[in-house]
Amino acid sequence: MNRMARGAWCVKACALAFATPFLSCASFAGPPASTPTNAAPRHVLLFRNGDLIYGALHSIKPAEGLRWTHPDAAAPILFGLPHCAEAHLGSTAPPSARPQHLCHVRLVNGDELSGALVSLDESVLVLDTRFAGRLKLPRSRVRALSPAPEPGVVLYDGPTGLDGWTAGKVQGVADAGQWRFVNGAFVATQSASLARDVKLPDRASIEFEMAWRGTFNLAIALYTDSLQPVSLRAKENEPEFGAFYSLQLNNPVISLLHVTRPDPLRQLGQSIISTFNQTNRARIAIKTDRQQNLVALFADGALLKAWQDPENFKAKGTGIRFVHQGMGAIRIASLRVTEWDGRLEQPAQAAPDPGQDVARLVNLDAVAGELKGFRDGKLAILAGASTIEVALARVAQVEFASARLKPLAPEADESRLWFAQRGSVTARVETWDAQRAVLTSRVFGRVEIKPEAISRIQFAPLILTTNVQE
Amino acid sequence: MRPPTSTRRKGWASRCIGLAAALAAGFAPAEAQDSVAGLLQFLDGALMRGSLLGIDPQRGVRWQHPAAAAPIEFNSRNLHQLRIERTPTLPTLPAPGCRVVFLNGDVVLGQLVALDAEQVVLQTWFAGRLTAPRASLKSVTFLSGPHGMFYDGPTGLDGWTVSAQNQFFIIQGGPGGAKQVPVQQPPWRYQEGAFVAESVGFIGRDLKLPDTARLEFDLAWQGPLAVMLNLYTDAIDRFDYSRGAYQLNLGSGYANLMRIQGNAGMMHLGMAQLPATSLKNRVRLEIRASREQGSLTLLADGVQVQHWRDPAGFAGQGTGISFYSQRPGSGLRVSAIRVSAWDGRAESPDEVVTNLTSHLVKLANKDRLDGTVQSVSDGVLAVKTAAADLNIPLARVMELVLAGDDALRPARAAGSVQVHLPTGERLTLASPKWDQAVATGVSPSLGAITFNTAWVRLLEFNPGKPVGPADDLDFFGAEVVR
Repeated sequence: MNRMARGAWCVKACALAFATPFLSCASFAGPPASTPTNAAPRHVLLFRNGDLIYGALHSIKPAEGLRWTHPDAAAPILFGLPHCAEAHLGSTAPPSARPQHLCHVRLVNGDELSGALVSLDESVLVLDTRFAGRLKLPRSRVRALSPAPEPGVVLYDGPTGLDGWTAGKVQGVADAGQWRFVNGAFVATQSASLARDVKLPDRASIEFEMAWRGTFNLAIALYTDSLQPVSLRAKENEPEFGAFYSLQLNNPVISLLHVTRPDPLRQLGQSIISTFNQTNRARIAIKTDRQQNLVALFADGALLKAWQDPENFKAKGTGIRFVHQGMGAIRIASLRVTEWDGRLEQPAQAAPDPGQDVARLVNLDAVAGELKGFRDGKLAILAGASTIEVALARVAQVEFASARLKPLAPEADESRLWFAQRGSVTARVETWDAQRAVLTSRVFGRVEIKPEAISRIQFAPLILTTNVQE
Repeated sequence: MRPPTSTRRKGWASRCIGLAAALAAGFAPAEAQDSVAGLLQFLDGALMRGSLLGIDPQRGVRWQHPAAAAPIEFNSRNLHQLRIERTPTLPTLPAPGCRVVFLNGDVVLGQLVALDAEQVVLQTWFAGRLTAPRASLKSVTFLSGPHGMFYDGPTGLDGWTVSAQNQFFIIQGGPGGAKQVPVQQPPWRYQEGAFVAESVGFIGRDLKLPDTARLEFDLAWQGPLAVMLNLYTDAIDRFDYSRGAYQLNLGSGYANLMRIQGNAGMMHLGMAQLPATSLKNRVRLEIRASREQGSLTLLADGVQVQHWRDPAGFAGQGTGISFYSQRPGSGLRVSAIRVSAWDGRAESPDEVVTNLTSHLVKLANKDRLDGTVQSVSDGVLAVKTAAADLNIPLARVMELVLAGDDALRPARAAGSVQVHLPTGERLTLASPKWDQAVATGVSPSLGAITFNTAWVRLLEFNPGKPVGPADDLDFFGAEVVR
């Protein structure tokens, strides 16, 4: 086995390729109070000039434009596609069944497709997707493949309401409020605290979609045994509580504090995340590993910062607490707490030899060589003179030889479509209606997909506002 | 400065004649237009730029959006308001004489031609002579001072001064090694009816702010808000602490007002909580200033958030304003800037009158009379008090309060709109119709009204209904700054 040094390859886990930014917007389960109740879906169309309209996507025909239904307009409205920036279509529930050999495939253009790995040879990777069936992906367009790990034990999956959560009163502020449960999400616009003992295991993953308006100051207590907020300024005066970690997300600064009642706060490091000022939503993932003394924070699949406590992992509880610290409107949705296998998806890195494929294994080993194929649940890798077979379940990620990749620059008539659960695809929208959508991809050709698989369409991102003729 | 009471309304009747002549001459707009550009806002938080083609009681609002292939007809039940983006060229109007507030909240400026037990007759600048039932009146305030619109824009950078407080540099490599290159891009640019901040710097203009003024503008941004607004300054392109002015610092969740006084530095006048700038990324701000009262009042989205009174008297020595963007890449956008005269009175009177059983007459010398207003005729107010029947020259009268704040407001007819004029007037109209240059409707107080659409700056479709995104908060792509 061409075993590679762990230090060189494995430790610097940087950007995870979750690639789930902007996973659909809020749940559109209910119209606002001022809008008549209507069973129709509530989509949002954003225009390049900043305009916005609610309603529902009726159809798309590139030669004609985009038709939009609005509850207060008698007929569908026809808009010119060059004026349309994005359509937010809501999200659907994730599939209950998990296919065998589920993988996430990253393409050279940044797209990511999820599906079951069916076959792989020297020229084609076949992926069976939920949205379009089997897709044949030329290897020259595939940058990386990540077998999806078996999901850990789910400790919390919601929110579905405030039951089981403890609302705490934030002391010392004049305008303290409460988190509210609205349309499948926790929302706070004032100082507020919400906590729950989710029985955090030693290795845990906490993921949620966070969105904000204005700015945000959010503190997330990890491994806390107190369901009431703790004033860090006067913690000595607070009722007894055990040590915990406080992850501070104070746009644009992130930091991790170790908090005990008697000791001074211990700052474990901070970073400035300028991108928080350029967006207003992110898929947040927090990974913790008590044995590794590790707390890692990810946004949209990219590692923002990993903290290692030099004084070992000292925390007493198993609860989490979200504390809105008085700034901005914050929304937390799709919160999922699971056991974590400690596996970090890694960014596609340039291999020392660009002509070689690299398979990174779960145990942090790596195998470099020529990936010959996939059969019976195993990858066959020609490494030196011998062929090594590795069970897909043991593989964390495969990076395909960069020398054989063919870049794919976006074209002006292509849109980017974001899947409801994860990933995106760049394609030309040939037609779209409530029942079916037809896309043409320069990677896998023309396919018919189910519209409900898509949560968001970015129309021809290459078209700039200045090119729009009015 | 308020003119002497004795001369304040001297010759008001002759002004009526002047006004009538002016109306006869016609305050017609410079050009009649088939459509008018505006911003249409919905109760659910949606908004669309475009052009208003017409309003019809049956068909709703006919709207042309730049992206739409054909005009759209929207039922008005979920519309919030339509802000007209053109700048009306107002004629030089004679002083309005009085401000009439109706029980339904409508406000009309005009000359009080006559008032008796049955009706009130007003000479208005926008619709000529109008008559309303006396029972529909809430109050009549007699005015003095300037009125009208002083600025409505922007429509471009003309007249505005853009400057960076400091020169910014970038490091640029080259054959001779790296060198500092000054940033050439101006800190502000004009785009589609708005000033957009590109970097740190000023945009300012001498707007000739009157002594009592109302400054309004829309503000949109990304990330934390950080902008300064200098008011009543004569330094529109820089910080100048040698001359009197006010500086309003707007941040996420707060507004700080600073007083600038030559040789005395800056003085903090107080901070206001401004949740709108923390919870949202756009807000309409309004500042009402009164030199006489030494006060500044801040309103956010129509709601008063702070009233500052400068204990040392009004400090502003200039008549200009400037915006100073403090953060590069903020996407800061300032639009729909309007400066108009203000009568110096709060929308809600300082003194709330809730248990009025008779009428209240406020006199210029601060005296008050309880009684029954009989009539106004030939410049004389006839009021019956418990002690005597009095005839008071109108020049001595400040205000007639004819109904208390607890008076019942008449129900609003379905489908009616409230029309806002650039002079601060607002009119509720049932069966509204907008057809090119002519607007018509039926006021519950004043009856059928016809006026020129050129005078309209805002239409409110469902006053009182909650506005904004649903409670679950819509958080869309950050690319959008509105």
